[in-house]
Amino acid sequence: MNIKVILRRVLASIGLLFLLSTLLFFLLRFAPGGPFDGERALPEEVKLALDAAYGLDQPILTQYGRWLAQSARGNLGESFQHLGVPVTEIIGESIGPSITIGGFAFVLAIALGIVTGVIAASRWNRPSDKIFLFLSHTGISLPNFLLASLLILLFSLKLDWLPPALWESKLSAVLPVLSLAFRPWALIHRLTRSEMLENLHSDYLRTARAKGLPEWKIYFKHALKNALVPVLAYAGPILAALLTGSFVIELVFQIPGLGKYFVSAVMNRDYPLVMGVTLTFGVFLIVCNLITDLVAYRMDPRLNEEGRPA
Amino acid sequence: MTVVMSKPVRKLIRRPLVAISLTLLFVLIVGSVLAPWVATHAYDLQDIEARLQPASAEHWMGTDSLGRDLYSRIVYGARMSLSVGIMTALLSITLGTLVGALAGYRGGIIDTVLMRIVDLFTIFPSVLTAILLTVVLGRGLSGILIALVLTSWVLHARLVRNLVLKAKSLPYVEAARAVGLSGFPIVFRHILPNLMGPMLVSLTYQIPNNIMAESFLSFIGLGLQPPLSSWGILANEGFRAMKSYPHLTIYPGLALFVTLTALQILGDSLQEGLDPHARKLI
Repeated sequence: MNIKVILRRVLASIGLLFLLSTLLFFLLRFAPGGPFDGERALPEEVKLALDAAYGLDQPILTQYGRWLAQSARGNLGESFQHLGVPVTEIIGESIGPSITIGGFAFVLAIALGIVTGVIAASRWNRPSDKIFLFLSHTGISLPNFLLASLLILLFSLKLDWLPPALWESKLSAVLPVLSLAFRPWALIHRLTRSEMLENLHSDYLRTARAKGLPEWKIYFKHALKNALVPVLAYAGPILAALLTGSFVIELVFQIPGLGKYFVSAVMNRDYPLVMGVTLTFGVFLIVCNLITDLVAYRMDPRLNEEGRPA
Repeated sequence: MTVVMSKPVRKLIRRPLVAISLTLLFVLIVGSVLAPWVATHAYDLQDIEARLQPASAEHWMGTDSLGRDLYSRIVYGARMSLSVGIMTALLSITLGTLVGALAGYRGGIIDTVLMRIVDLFTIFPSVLTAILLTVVLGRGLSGILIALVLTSWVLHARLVRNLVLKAKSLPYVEAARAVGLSGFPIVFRHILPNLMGPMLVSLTYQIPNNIMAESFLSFIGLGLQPPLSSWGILANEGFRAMKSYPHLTIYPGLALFVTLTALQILGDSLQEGLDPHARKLI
């Protein structure tokens, strides 16, 4: 893929982000309820003063214009909920924990999924294959907050080996990463296994076997290489889902990451923070998609530069 | 509905795992329809005298921090979670089928516009979109229903569009066109009945996905709100008291997990039986 295509994709992505944020901006403004509607109704003057301070009394198009001009200069405004703190600062502080647990979970799920997938395919229909199959069924059907609850119960409350919550030491990341990685591991395991089986039973490998190619070469030089193409194509969406989908885990473990701020911002109608985190997620997704397509293109010459069959 | 009782499906039902899953789902559905009779208490009946009790003859699974009977809350939770899952799946499959068939059959500008809308909905993972939608739609039942339908119809629309597109050039459709049928009867009387298999598979996967999405949203507090009961709400309430009262998390969690597993097994087997070529799809 040449620079020109990448540049075009990036530009198209920026256009998409712009469209998305515009849509979101108007959706949020037309949503019922405002950021300052608390449990108790504020006195009318206070509410007016707050609205004026944040420009919420202006016509919506003026607000939009101002938001656009600001964010083009990299200023995403100030949070309503954490008074006076710039949104960019909140995102800057919370992006680390999210990327850490999402990234580790991703690496763990992919590496382990490929290894167990190959093992399962080589032990097809034998006990070890069936055990992994059972585990992967569990992984797909077990919501991660339940897994997280069970892990906390076992390893923190009963055994007292690992911290049950908060983001203080390196050990704090262990349980969140495990809870987050189980489901994607199950998906990658199943995909690797079925791809390996398909390749191992294909005509070209039957020929290779007949010609006397050693078994390890059949597995690692041929079957695995071909099985990895769809697996890696699937890895991009999984990374994106892990980076943007850790909010439940962050809430369960009280990790100060993007997801936790996102949920509380949504609950409290903290418009600038919702917009900021959504845009950050958007950037994650676009980068993941781009990398996936690049990798797929490098690995499978039949694909065009958009990552689709040419 | 011939496909439902076709030979591969009848063969599937004889598999032990499938039979167990089907029985389990049948019991769950009957139980949640008859919830007022199956439950021993009202789901929101508080009894401050009997808070956080262990299991007993009076309270089969104990009580929660407000003295509500956990067993009854799980039964009513099944009713809520299942009906939300099934209803949103049916609605999103209907919407997806209509849009997909229109886009696939008509093609051209209609196809382009509809598929761009589908793309827009698939930029974000669906739970994320659902969270954003709850801001606009509000929390509570109707908000959840709309959010789940709006986030789950798109994949089905894409599937149906591609299938219709493929079917359009097959001889039986050309024959129907040759005898002078117009678009509407061709799509609804000829093409769609032939796509029952993959559509049924899609529906079977959609239900657990939506049940899971509802439980996610309710667990983080953006979905259904207590005192209503759904498995996600129960897991959330249980989580807060987990250290001393793990049963409050474990029982509803088990109900949720077992249901999702049964539906997943059903989906996998149906796909294997009806759509053997699409086995790679997860």
